[in-house]
Amino acid sequence: MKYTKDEIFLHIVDILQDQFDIDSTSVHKSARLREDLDIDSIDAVNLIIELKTLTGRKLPLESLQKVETVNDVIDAVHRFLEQDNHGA
Amino acid sequence: MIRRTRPWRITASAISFIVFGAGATLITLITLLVIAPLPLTIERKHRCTRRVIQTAAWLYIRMMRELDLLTFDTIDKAALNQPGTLVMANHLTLIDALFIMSATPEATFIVKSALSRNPFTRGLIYLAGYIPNNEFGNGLKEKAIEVLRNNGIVVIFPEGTRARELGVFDFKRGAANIALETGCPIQPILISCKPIALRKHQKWYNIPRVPSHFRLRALELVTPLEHVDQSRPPGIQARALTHYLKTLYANASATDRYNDQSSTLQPNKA
Repeated sequence: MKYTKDEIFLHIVDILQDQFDIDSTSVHKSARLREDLDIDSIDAVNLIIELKTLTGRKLPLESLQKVETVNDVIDAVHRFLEQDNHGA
Repeated sequence: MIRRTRPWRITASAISFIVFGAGATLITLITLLVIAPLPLTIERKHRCTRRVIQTAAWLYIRMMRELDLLTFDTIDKAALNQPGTLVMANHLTLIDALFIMSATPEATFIVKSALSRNPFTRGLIYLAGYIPNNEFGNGLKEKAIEVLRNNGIVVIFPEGTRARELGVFDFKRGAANIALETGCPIQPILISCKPIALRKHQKWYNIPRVPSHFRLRALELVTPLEHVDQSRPPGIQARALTHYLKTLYANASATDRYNDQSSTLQPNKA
């Protein structure tokens, strides 16, 4: 499956709203997960589980260990999908 | 008791810090040299080490009391030692954990990750089987859950660090996540210290005019699943329970201020 970065972003906005009750209007690409959106490391694990609908397989936990902003998550997912395409 | 002068108490305070450092080093050495090499299971070593820590904490807070640095109410041991319970407490001063440690010889503490990296405390934390809070993801949560499922007691300070502002309970959601996944009861402990001392960013010699009085008040046991909508995603449940706990503490501490003299050690209706 191929997704554009914008599609990935919209998907993340939905997950944040559904899973963590985060108002979709407050989610910007530059928003920081921990400081601005109050996402902790346990939430990050749930986020990875929810991202599976995009990524098919579970993203490795390490791929989110260093992310700071929503944009970083988008990049991580995008990179993961690219690798998958090349691998296939 | 004779009230000692402030310069005397500042000296006593300095002595306390030195005793703490020396004592912690000594305990680490003793446990590493004596308990670690014994042919015991790791569980037995954890128990012995916790017993040593409990005794040291018990002695230490009494030493501080003898030095006229603090006073404290009798600690409700029964509330702190219920098997399969998650004990949580607010975090005001450098020595809060010692009061709980002095009364809980069996409990597993969740400790600051810095302590598990510090060469002086790392060995002790490992031997005591305490859980460092440094793991990214679910590591901490899963270790705590395992202890609770085996009917152990876990002690957590959900603020993660000493409070910056009095009366504000900035709990992180780890405690709520642990309790929701096991369904175990939470025993909330409200620690108060009047006048406040040994706070974050407070200099050690900046001690109050009179000895601080510490009180550990056991609030009513919380059944976590009663305060969340279980049909919602786990992240939202954890937020709801954490919000409930913050409110519980804010209300309990507000009533505390007006009942300064009463020493309610019994579990209280919050």
